[in-house]
This record gives sequence, structure tokens and C-alpha cells, in this order.
Amino acid sequence: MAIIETQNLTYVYSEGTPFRKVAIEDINISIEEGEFVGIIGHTGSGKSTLVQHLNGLLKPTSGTILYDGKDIHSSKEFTRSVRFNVGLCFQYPEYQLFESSVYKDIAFGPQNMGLSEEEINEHVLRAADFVGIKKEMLKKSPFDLSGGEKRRVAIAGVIAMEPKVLILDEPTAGLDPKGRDTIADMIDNYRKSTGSTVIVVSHSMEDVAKSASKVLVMNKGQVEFFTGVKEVFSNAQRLVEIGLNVPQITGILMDLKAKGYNVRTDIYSVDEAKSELLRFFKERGVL
Amino acid sequence: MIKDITIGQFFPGNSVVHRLDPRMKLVLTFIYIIAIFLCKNFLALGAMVLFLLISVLLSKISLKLIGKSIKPVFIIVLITSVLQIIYNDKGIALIEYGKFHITTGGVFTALFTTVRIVALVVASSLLTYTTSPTLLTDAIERLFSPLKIVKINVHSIAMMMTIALRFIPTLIDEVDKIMSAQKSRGADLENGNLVQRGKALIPIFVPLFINSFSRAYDLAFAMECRCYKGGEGRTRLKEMKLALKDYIAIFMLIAVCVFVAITNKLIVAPEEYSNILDSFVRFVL
Amino acid sequence: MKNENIVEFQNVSFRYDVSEGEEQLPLAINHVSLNIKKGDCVAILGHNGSGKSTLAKLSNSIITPTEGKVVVKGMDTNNEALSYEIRKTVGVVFQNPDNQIVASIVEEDVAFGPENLGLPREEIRKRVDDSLKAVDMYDYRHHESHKLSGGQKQRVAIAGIIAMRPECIFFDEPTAMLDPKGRKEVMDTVFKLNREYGITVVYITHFMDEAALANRIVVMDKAEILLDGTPKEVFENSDLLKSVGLDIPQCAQLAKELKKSGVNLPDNILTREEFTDSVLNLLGDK
Repeated sequence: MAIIETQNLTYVYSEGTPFRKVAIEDINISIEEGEFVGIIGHTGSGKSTLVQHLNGLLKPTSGTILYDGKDIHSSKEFTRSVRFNVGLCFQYPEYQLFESSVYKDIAFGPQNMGLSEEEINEHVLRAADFVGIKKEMLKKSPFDLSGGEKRRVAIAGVIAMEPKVLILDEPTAGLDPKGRDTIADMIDNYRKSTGSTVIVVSHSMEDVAKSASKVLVMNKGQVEFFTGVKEVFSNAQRLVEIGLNVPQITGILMDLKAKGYNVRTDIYSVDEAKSELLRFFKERGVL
Repeated sequence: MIKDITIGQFFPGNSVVHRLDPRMKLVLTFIYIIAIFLCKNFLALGAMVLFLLISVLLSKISLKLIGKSIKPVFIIVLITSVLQIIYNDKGIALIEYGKFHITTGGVFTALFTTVRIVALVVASSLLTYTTSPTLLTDAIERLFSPLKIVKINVHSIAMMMTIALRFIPTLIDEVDKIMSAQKSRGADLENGNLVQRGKALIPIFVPLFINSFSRAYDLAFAMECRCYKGGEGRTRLKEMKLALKDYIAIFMLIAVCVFVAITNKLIVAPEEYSNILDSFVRFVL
Repeated sequence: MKNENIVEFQNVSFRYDVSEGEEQLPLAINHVSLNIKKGDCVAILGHNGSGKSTLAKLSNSIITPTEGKVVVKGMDTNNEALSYEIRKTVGVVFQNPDNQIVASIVEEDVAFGPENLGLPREEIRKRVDDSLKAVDMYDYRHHESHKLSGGQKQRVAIAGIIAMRPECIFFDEPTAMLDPKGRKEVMDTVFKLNREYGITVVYITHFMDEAALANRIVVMDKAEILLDGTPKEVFENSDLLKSVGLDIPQCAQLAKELKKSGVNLPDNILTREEFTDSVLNLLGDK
């Protein structure tokens, strides 16, 4: 059964004012337990609005969201429990750190869950371990850390609630290549060892293509695609049309295809592109 | 919800009201507010409201927005009206129920205060709706520049106001974001007693302050990069020069004020006015 | 005077101050010597914390070196009396567009610099309009800055700097906080300033595809210069770059792999366009 499902989900900002704006419209998606879903779309496509519905932060204007088959707004208690079961980590989460030590900051979520001291301790240590925060760092003030470390502490703050579904909004924004890789590996590792469902929101296919099993492409508040990574890339031209970036190598193959050559475009890793181009060159007799 | 507040916002446009000298607008608003409190009868008040109405129409600001500006004071208006109606026992009673009675005097005063407060709010909203924050602070800086003599650094105060106005929307967005993020970690901002609620604000305000500090550093660097060194020797993009329309505006307002003064003195005092109202009520009854 | 340097970092070191009693921080810049030629377009690459952002602040006397000196068009940034002239010559655009816009309305913000310079009103008007046109934001001159997109805000910030008519601009990770659309808008503007307006451009980035478009790349690591050369020269050292947490552009990587397998591609392909063109050449389609 789907762990999260939306039915005709619609959300309108500032209803009844001149600033009325439909953020998302008639979204019907269903996400299975243990899946790794990438949500991509450009700014204003509604992707952030959508994920804020999944943990009950925003209440839909119409439609329903089901967690484990049950309407998340069916009761106040259930909404609160969904908050903890669907962990949402915002963009630039390091700007939300507030405690005097890394340990206390990570413990904020588990504390709100009403866990015992002992359980809190276990949760914090496990979360710190997942994001590669060393024990001696836990005593430090989060404000003395480097940018990349702060980001990891903030993510640990969400992981520490040990949610069944972990949602991360642009977890690698603003980081250098190494920082991006570290975070991506960390998320992958978390999913593999806990079996949790993971949803990553991003601007670009490049970020999600490596690890996601399914991709949800949002455009103008609606679902453009919700399918496997390969299938989405086979529509690479459409991605470009709706203002999304494709990896450079996909771009090269698209250029060649546009020139009338018979190459595949559903490719996004250097290795795959290499074998496809080698095949193509052999076929054309230039190799 | 925080985002729905419109007071202090600016809606760019090119109407006569937008193009008035901001110093003049400031002075006009100031005089208007004083005059509205000096009005003693409906005739005078009517003239003031008419003046405001014409200004609003000239500004081409939608009436919907004007309506929105009144929203925040609605409760205050309601409470004062209810108090007036309950406690004012001048004039003749319209409804009587034991100790409780509603009199013409009460209704009259309630109506009078309501119109006054609404006019006051609309007038000041019109000022901010049609004047960019920078121009407004510029105008304040220029109007108060004589204070330099008493060693008050008017430029610095005006610059601080400009920056404050510029950053209010940014910080409101930021509070929104931090609140959502902490709620996602289970922070409970709505329930609990006063102490608990106060405590719940720590995760919101600590990051807000820390982020504001770093913003302030960035901004200071950026301002230095653009050769900012205080008010000395600065020139302005927008020259302030009184034009014909400014003189027309002030003469119109003065005319209205004179009218207010005359009606206040000569025609009817509020008590008399309510007496007229009374006789009308008696006649109807 | 064709090879005139606009900014010279002469054996510069810099250490950020800490409050008393705290442990001293390591050098943010460690004996760096670097000359920026007039009219050049230079990318400074490095991972977070490599010291590259400190270079931008040193370039126009926002901070002054702990050791060595920075010279802007013959002016030493240590000389406080010259800081005004120096900042008129070298402008800096920072990472977060929100934190460098001073006024609420676009054109009023762009006017901030020229106003500080004490220019006559007509001149300010002209500079504001020209600058906004240069960054393609003229139609937004009456808009409120906080309602713009990230890319638009950053372009307004750039207009605010070019209204000072600097000869050189340092961009400190101007695209780090932007979405792909904003990134493209800003980078297009940066190159336009260099090519059409002849402004010397130095941009700090950690996006390899952005760096590949510069004339010269300086790679920073651990407060020192690791590599310095044309993009082609720098991306030759893919292993060295990897070891310091950087990468080479995907295209360069793919071209390299294909060459290894015997495909007859030219050396040093860096961009998508170059790649596609060489493949078409290879196929005799051109």
C-alpha cells in the first residue's frame, strides 16, 4: 500500500484577495514505502508547496492527503503524529539552528515527540552518525561550525525524529561539489540502511538522476511526469521546454538528435553516454 | 497571515497623488489628521471625508486595497462604538432594557468616532501607498534637517528607516520560513500556557536574530562597496521641488480646514447637532 | 599599456580576527600573489573555505591584508585615504542578493552608489537607466526589490555596482543561491559586462561549467593558489582537481573518455557547444 497518497490536492494562496494564486492544482500521486522519489521543477512550479502538504504543514484548499491510507487531517492528534512520521527538511536548514550545542539542536525534534531522555540520546547519536557528525562535535555550538557541517547538523535534526518518510527540499543548494556529493551519499546511505521512503526536491535532474527510483516533474502547479528516471529523460526535450536543466551530456545527445542523428537521449551518466556514442561512432564508421 | 498586512506598503503608480512632492504629502497628512480631530459636526466631517475621497480617487488606488487598510483597526472601531453606544446616555433613548439603553447621543458619537478613525487610517495609508519608502524617509530627512543645529543626525535616522522598511518584508518571509521549519520538527506554537508559549518562541527568534546579524554585516560591506560614507556630500536621484499641483493640494486642504473652523464655530456644536437629530427622531416616532 | 594590471595581490596573507582569549584562526589567505589584467575575465575556483571569498573583500579595501599588499591601479588598499577611489575602481557583488539591496524600489537602489558619489541629478538618472538597461532590468525600475526573483535581485545588485562605473568587478559566488534560470541570467550578464562594456571581471564560483567559460581560471585550495591558467590548462589536471573536492565539467570528462577509446576528438573540449561541434566535424557534417 502507498505510504503517501494525494487525491485531487489543490492549494490556493491568499484566497479571496487580489493576490490569489493557485500554487498546485489537482495533484494525484501515490508514493510507495521505501521508494526514492525526486521532485523537480523550476521556482514557482509548486514543488515546495506540495511537500509542505505531505507533513500537514499546509492544509489543502481542496482534496486530501493520505498517510498510511488515512487522511492526515482527520484529527489533530493524527496530524501531529504525521509531523513526526514525515520529516521535512527545508531549504538552507542551517539558518534554523538555534540551540547552544549541536546535541541539543538535534534533540529538539525527539524532545517534541515526548521521548524519554534515554530514547532521545539514542536518536541523537544515531542521527549524528548518519550525517557523519563526530561525537566530540556534539558539544560544540552549532554556530562555530563550517557551512557544510551546519547543513549536516540541521539535516540530522530531522533524521533524529526517525521519520518513515524523509523529505529534503534542495538539500545540496549552495554547496561545493564535494559537499554536494557528501550529502547525496548520506541520504542514499540513510535510505538503504533504514528502508525509509525518501523524497528529494531539486531544480535539476542532475541531482536526482543518480539515486532516485522515480521522478515527479512539476510544471505550473501540475504534474508533468511521474515515472521512472529513464522515462523522464526520454522526454528530455520537454524538460528543457518547461525551463529545467538537463545534464551537459544529455544536452550533447539532444543536440545530435536535433541534427537528425539517431542517438538515445535518455542518458545522464558519463559512462552510459560513452558507450552510446561509441556505438554511434561505430555505426557511422568513424571509429 | 502576517503577509496580509498592507499598512506601510507602497503601490507604485503614476497618478497626481503619487507625483505630489513627498514633503507636501507628509505635511498634508499631518494637517489632515489634526483637522479631523478638530471637526465637531457632521458637516465639517463630511467635507473632510469628501476631500479624502477625492484624493483616493485621484490616486487610482483600488478601493479594495483601501478597504484592506481599515481591516486591522476594525476591532478598535467596533469596541469604541459599542462602548459609546452603551455608556453614552445623552439625547433620547431609542431602545431601553432595564439599565441598558441606546440613545441618539450614543449612536451619534459612535458614528462620529468611527468615521474619524477610518478617515485617519485611510489618510495615512494613502500616504504610504502612494509614496515609496525611500522618498518618504527622504522627505522626513529634509523636513527635519533644521534639527542638525541641535546635533541630531537626521540623515542617519532617515537611513535607518530606509533600511528598516526595506528589510521588513525580507524578515517577515524569514520568520515564516523558520516557523514552518520548527513546526516540522514538532514545535508547538499554538498550545500551552503563557510560559510555554514564550519558550516556544526561542527556536524562532534565536535564528532570526543570528541571521539578522549576518545580514547586517553583509549589508554594511555592500554599502561600503558602494562608497557610502554618511550623509555628507550625498546627492539625490529624485529632486524635490514644489510644483503647481502641490500648491493646489495645500490650498484645497486649507480651504477645507477653514470650512471646518467656520462650521465648528458658527453653525452647530455637536450637542446642538444631536438636538436636531433628537427632534428628527421625535418627529419620526 | 595593453598588459596593465588592474588589481595586484602582492604576497598577500589574511587572518580573520577572533575575540580575545580564543584560539587564533588559520590564515584565510596564505602568501598569495595574483595579478588581474585589465579587460580579463577570470574565474576563481575552490571549495567552500578555500579562501576565495576573502580575495573579493581584499580587492577593494573592505578588508586590508594582514601581510603583503593589494594594489588597485597603483593605489595601495592599506592607504585608507584612497579607499573611496579604490571602491570606485573595483566593485564587489556578493552572494546573497537580499543582503546587498539597500532601498525598497529598484531604481532607488541602483541610485544609491551614484548618490554617495555626490553626482548631479541628471548624471545619476542617466547612470541608473544605463545600468538597468545593461542588466536587462529597465522595465522593472519601479518595482519593489523584495518581490523580484533571485536572479532579478542579483541583476539589480549588479546594476547598483555598474552605476558606479567601475573598471573591474569581483563577483563573490553570485549564483550560489540561485535556481538554474537565475544562474543563467546572472552569468549572461557577467559575460556581457566583460565583452560589451570592457569591464574586467573576476568571478568566484564552484560551478565547473561557469568556470569553463572564463579566459583564465585560478584554483584556490587551503588558502593558496593551486592552479592558474586557461580553462584548458586547468582542466587537464582532473586528478588534482578531484583530490581537492572539485571536478571537471561533464563534457570534458566525456571527451577524455572517448579519446581514450580511440575517438578522434580534438584536445581540451570544455563546453557542450564545443563538444557537439567537434562531433559534427568528425562526422563531416559542417
